[in-house]
Amino acid sequence: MKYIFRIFYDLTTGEIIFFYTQTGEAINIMPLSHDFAVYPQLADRTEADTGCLEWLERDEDLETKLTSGEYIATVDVTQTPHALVFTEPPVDPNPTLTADEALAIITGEAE
Amino acid sequence: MESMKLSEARALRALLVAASANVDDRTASTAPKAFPRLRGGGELIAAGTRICWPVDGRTCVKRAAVDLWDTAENAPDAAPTLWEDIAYRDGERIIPETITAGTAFAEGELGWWGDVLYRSKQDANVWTPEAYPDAWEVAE
Repeated sequence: MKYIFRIFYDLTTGEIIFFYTQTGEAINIMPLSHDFAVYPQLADRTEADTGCLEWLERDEDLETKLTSGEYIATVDVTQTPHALVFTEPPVDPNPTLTADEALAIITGEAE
Repeated sequence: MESMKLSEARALRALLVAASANVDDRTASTAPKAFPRLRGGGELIAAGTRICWPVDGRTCVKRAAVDLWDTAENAPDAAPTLWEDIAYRDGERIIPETITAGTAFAEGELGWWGDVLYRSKQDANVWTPEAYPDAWEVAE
C-alpha cells in the first residue's frame, strides 16, 4: 500500500498553507511541481517561497494531531532541516464562565 | 444570567468569604456555602474559623475549636473533636440535649431536633421534644 503525506508551508514564517494525504495502490507520487500546478491552495506560490515536508510511511499520531484542532501546527524554519512542531493553543487565563461554572466558584465548590 | 468572567466569579467569592466572617452564627447557618471550604492544602486554620462542611447531603457550618492545619486528617469527619457545631441550622436554633434556664425556648420559638423542626408550645421550655413531647409541636 503506497502512502504519501505532504505539508506545504511558508518558508519565511513556517505557517502551514496546505496538506494532503493519499493512500492506496493506485496512487502516483507526483513531483512537487505537479502539486503547485494542480492545487488551488498553492496558486501563486512557488518552491522559492513554499517548503514541503513529506512522509512516505503513515504516521497516525501526526495525522491526528494535525486534524484534531487541539494543536497549532507550524514548521520551525529556524531548524535545519525544517521540522513540524505542534504547540497547544494558549489558554485564556480569564475565560467567560457558564452559569453553572460561575455558581460553583461563587459557592466555593470549585476554584 | 449575565455572563461572568473567571476573575469576576473569584472576586465575588472572595468578597462573600470575607463578609461571612462578620455575621453571627444564626445568620451563618442560613448560608453555609458562603464560608470557606477545606482544600487539604495544609494551610493554618485559626481557632474560631467557620467553614462550610457537607453533612448527609446538605451543607452546614463548623467552627475550628483549635488552631489546626487544613489536612485530610484534621477534617471534621476524621477529627470531630477539633471542630464545634454551631447552634443553628437554617437560621433556627438546634435544640441541645440539655437546656438550661438561660437557653430555654420561648413560646412559638422554633428549634431543630434531629432533622425535624419543632415549635415550642410554652415559654421557658427547658425540655427536649423527646423528653417532654407535649411542650413541642412539629412546625409546618
